[in-house]
Amino acid sequence: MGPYLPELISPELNLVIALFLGIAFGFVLEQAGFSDSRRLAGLFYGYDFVVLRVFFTAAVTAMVGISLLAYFGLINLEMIYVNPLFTRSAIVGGVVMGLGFVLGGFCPGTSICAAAIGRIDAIFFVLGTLLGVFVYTEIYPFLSDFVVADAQGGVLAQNVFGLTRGLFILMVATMALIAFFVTKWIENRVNNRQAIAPLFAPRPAAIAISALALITLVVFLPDKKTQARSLINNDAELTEVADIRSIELEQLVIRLLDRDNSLILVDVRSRELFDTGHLPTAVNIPLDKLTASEWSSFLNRQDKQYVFYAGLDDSAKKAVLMMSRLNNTSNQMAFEGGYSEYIERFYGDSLENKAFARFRAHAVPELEKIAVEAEKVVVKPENKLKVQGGC
Amino acid sequence: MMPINEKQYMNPYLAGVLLGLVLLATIVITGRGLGASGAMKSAVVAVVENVAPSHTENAPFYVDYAQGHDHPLKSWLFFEVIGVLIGGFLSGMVSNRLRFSTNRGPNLSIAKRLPFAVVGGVLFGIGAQLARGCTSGAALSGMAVLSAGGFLTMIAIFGSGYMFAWFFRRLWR
Repeated sequence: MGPYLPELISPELNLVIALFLGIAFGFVLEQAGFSDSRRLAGLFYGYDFVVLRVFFTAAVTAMVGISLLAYFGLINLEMIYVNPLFTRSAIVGGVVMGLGFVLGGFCPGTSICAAAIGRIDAIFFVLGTLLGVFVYTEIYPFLSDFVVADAQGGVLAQNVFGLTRGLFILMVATMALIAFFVTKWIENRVNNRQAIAPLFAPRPAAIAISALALITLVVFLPDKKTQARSLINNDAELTEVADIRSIELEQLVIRLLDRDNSLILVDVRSRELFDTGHLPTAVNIPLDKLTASEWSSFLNRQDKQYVFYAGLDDSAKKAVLMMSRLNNTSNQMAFEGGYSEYIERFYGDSLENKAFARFRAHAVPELEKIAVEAEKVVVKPENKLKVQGGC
Repeated sequence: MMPINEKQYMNPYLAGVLLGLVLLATIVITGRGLGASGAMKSAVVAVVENVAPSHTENAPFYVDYAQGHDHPLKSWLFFEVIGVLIGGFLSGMVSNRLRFSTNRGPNLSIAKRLPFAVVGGVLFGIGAQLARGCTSGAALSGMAVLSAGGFLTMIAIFGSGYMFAWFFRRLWR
C-alpha cells in the first residue's frame, strides 16, 4: 500500500525518482505552453485561460485518482502529506505571489521550464526568485514569529466545510467545469472571436457530462480501510460469508506447545478484558484498532499465520474478514471459541474424556511456562515515519 | 536559425490530465506532491553556506533550516527541479521551441520586460517562503491532497492576481 516512502524506498533511490518525476513534470508543463509568460499572464486579462484549464484539470485528476487508488487499497490516505494550514502567512504569502505573478508572468515551476528552452525573461525571473529567497532569509528574524503563528496542522478542506471527501471533490470538479465554460466565453469575447462552435456544442457538453459522471462514480467509493472497518458493525455480512477459516482449540494449543514462531495470536478484545487474562503469547489489538497504521506492518507479514480470538461474540470472525480484505491475504484464522472456551476446557471442572485429560495435564504447566516467557517480549505498535513534504 | 515548424501546444485538458497523473504518481510513490520554490531555497542555502559560512552559523534562518535538513542540495525538490529543467528542454527539443527569446506584452519593450521579470521573481521568492510553497508545492499539490492550506494559498495567489492585474495591464495587453 502506497506511499512507498519512507519505508520501501531508500533515500538515494528517492532522489533518482525525484529526477524522473521532475522530467515528466517539466515535459508536460512545456507541452502545455507554460513556458510562455504572455500565455500565463493571459489568465489575469482574459485573453488566454490555459493556466486555469491545465491547473484545475490536473488537480481534479489527482484528487479523483487518489480516491480510486484508495478504493483498491493501493494508497493509504492517512499517510499522505497534507500541507499544513497557517491562515495568515498563507494569505499574505499568496498575495505577494499574486503580485509577483502579474509583474513577472511566471511562477517558479513554469519559469524553470521556460528557462530550459531559452526564454530570457524566465531566466531573469529565476534569478529574481533566488534573490527573493535570499532577501527572505535575511529578513527572516523579523518575520519568523508571523510565519509560525496560527499553526493549525494538516487541515483537510472537506472538514472545513463539513463535507465528505467524495462530496467535496465533486464540488470542486463541478466548479472547475463551470469555470471552463465561462472562461471560454470570456476568452472569445476578449479576443473578439466568434465562438468557433457554440458554447454548449454537443461534443464539449458530452465530454463534460461524462467526466462528471465518471468522477461521481469514483469519488464516493470507500477506501480500503473504510471497507474493512465497515464489518465492525455489520453482522449481516458475516452470515453471508460461508467459509471463514478457523482453527480448533486443540490444534492451536499444539502449535503453541511447539513454540511455532510462524504463529501470531491476536486478542481482539478490549485492553481491560485482555489484562484480566488471555491466551499465552497473545498480543492485544482491539477490533477497532486492527486497521490502524501503526499495526499495519505487524499484521501483514507473509511469513506468519495470524489467529484471532475474542470472547463470546463474532469479533474473531470479523477480524479475519477485515484483515484478509484489507491486505488481500488469506493467512488469517479465527479461533471461534475464544478466551471462554480456553478457560472452560483447560481450567474448568470437566475433564471431557481420558485422552483430553492427559493432554490437558501435560499442556497446562507447559502453557504457563510459555506464557511467562512471552510476557518478556513486549510487542508495541510502531510509530510510522512521517512523510516529508512541502517546499 | 529560426525553427520553421514550431509545434502547437498540447490540448490544455489533455495536458491537465497528464500533469494530474504525474502528480498522482508522485503522491503514490513518495507520499508528497511536486514543488519548485523549495529547490530555490536549497540552492540559496547551499550558495550562502559556501560563500559566507560564518553568516550561516548565526543567522536565525540558517540555524532553523539546518535543524530540519540534510545537505541542502541532497533534497528531493532540488533533484525534481533539475528534472524539470531536463524535461522542459526535451519538450522544447521535440516541439522545435529551443531558442533564445523573450515573451512580453505587445506594448512593452524587452528592456522593460526583464526588470519586471526580476521583480516578479523576487516577490515570488519571498511569498513562497511565507506561504510554505508556490503554485506547484502549495497550491497544486495542496489541492490534490485536499489541504485547506493549499486551497487558501491558491485563492490568495489568483484572487490577488486579478486585483493587481488592472494596474499593470500595460505589461501584457
